[in-house]
Amino acid sequence: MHKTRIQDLVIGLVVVALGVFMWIQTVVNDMEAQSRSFSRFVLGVFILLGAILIVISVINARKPAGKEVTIKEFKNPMIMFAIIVLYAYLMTVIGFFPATLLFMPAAMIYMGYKRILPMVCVTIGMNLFIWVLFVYSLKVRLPKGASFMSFLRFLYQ
Amino acid sequence: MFENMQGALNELFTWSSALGLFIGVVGGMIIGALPGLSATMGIALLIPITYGMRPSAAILMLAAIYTSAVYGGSISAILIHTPGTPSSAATCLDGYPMAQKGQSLHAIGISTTSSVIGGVISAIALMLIAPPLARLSLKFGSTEYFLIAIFGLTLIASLAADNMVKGLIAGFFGLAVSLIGTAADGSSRFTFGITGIMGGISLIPAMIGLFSISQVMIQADERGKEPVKLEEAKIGGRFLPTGKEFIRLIPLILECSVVGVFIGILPGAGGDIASWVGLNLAKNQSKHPELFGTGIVEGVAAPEAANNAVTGGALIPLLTLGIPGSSTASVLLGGLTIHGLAPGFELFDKYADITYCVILGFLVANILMGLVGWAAGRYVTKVSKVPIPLLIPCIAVLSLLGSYAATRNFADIWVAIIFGLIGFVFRKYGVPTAPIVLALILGPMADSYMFTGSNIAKKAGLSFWQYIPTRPLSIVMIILILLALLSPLLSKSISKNYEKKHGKIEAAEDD
Repeated sequence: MHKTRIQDLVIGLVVVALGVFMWIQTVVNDMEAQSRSFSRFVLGVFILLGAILIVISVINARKPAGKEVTIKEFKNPMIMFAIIVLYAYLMTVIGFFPATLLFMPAAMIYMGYKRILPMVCVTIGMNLFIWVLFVYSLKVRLPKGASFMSFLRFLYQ
Repeated sequence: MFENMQGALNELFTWSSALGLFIGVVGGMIIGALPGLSATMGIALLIPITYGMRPSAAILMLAAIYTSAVYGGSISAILIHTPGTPSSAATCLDGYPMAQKGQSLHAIGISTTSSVIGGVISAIALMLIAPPLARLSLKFGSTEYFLIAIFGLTLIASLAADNMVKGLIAGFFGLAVSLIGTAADGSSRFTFGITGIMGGISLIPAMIGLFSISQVMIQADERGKEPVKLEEAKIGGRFLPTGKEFIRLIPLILECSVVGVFIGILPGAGGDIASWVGLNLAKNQSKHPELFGTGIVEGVAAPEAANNAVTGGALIPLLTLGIPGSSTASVLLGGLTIHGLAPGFELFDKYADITYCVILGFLVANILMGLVGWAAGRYVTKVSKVPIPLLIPCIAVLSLLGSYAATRNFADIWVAIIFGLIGFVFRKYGVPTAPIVLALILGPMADSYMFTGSNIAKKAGLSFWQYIPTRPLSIVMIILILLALLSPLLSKSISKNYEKKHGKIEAAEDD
């Protein structure tokens, strides 16, 4: 079987599995008849489409389908994803602005950027822009980081 | 309509509207000129900035980004042979050869003039067609609105013309996600006891994740790679067309603009298809069709008038019926809903000041776009030289911030991150993400109107499906749905025809 077809086969299987899992929920959970029928219509078509993709992949097993995706292509994006997750977590710990001041240079360095001055200017400029627009003008209360505040309070006491 | 103009003008002549208009035009032009950033992503990213703005200024800014990004795409198409948006792919064919002949500034000038005329005509069409169409929507009942939602969902077929099955999977995945939360009958579905998702998955964070965070992840794959050096054509030639040239071009520009408006109204056929149709039209009418592709002004004027005319046309079904004609329009619909504005007659009645301000402002945006293009168009491609490593963290920060600012709910940041991952995986495996957004918007609408329609049908002693053919307007809607399902075949055949003749031109994913 061509690798791209294996990819499609896996997508089809995941779609069917997800659809069946959600369908089971319509049986297990107590739902109103109307709500259940719309859900089952959507999930039924979803499962059917997954099954169609599986059948197409099997029938055309030797023909390529689209671009082949390698595990290597996931490496950098997944590391960037992990950095973003860490950034979101840091927001809850040390607050939005300190987390952003750490995240931006870290992401730039990870992407292979080496010039310090533009890095610093963009980071500070971005934080200033956000402060002026969201905090000062729009009065948005950005995450302050509860743990960090309690840590500061602890130090102060 | 005219009785609402006074209020609309009062709304338009405020500092916030003027600022929104200016930011929208300049920002849209930059976003459009940057290959890799699309109008859809730009609007999704900038929606959070509109939270604190007056609804009129906010929607005006988003609409200005839409039209200006379509124009901005042509500048990079002409100067660096890389269309910033798919709508500008047709412009490359004659725009870049013109630039190579030392007429880059003239090509930008022709593109600017045609885009402005196309945009202005589409704004006039919006002003004239939308109000009566909105009045017609008063005659619609729940079955018609259900069918309108289904009509909108048929767009999935056109948004996924390359791989219909995967596109439909994406659409039904979106519909399945839209089931999460409280159903139309008040019961809770697929919440698994998590209180944070009782109200459903928030649209804006999901949209930001699908379009912006996934883009950040895709760009991260460029880490360590040498940036592609784009060959920039030298700036030269006169900007504005000569009087003779203008008189020669104006019938073509007007014709392409009208065609563009019509294509914009059709669901699914967006700026990309309009530009190819415009070019085809110009070629068929020309005495020297063999000159197309060698760098002639008609080859720039026709597609640019047509693709900008699409923007106003696409706003017609969006504002009157809530049908987004493209992925960009579906994000715009998201912008409308977060400001508490629901498409339909109410928009032209209760919120007439806001709506007419947006329509008038859209007209002004197209003219302003011409002035900004004239003054700064040649410099816009400089932004395409901004290093990607500097741009990526900014997009990531704005994405998370935008997701949070919508509801001030930190859980929405996680929603954006999860949808970012989903969007990235989908895009990697060739599954389009735009149908997910469309389904997230139209799924709850279909669910809710099916619920109301079923109750009405029950009173008449019929099932919902038996009740539909008893209403003449519903039958018209069914015919329109069938026609919409055929439209991808038309667009595919036109695109293939051109690709065969001119080769494939790569561009960003959405327009």
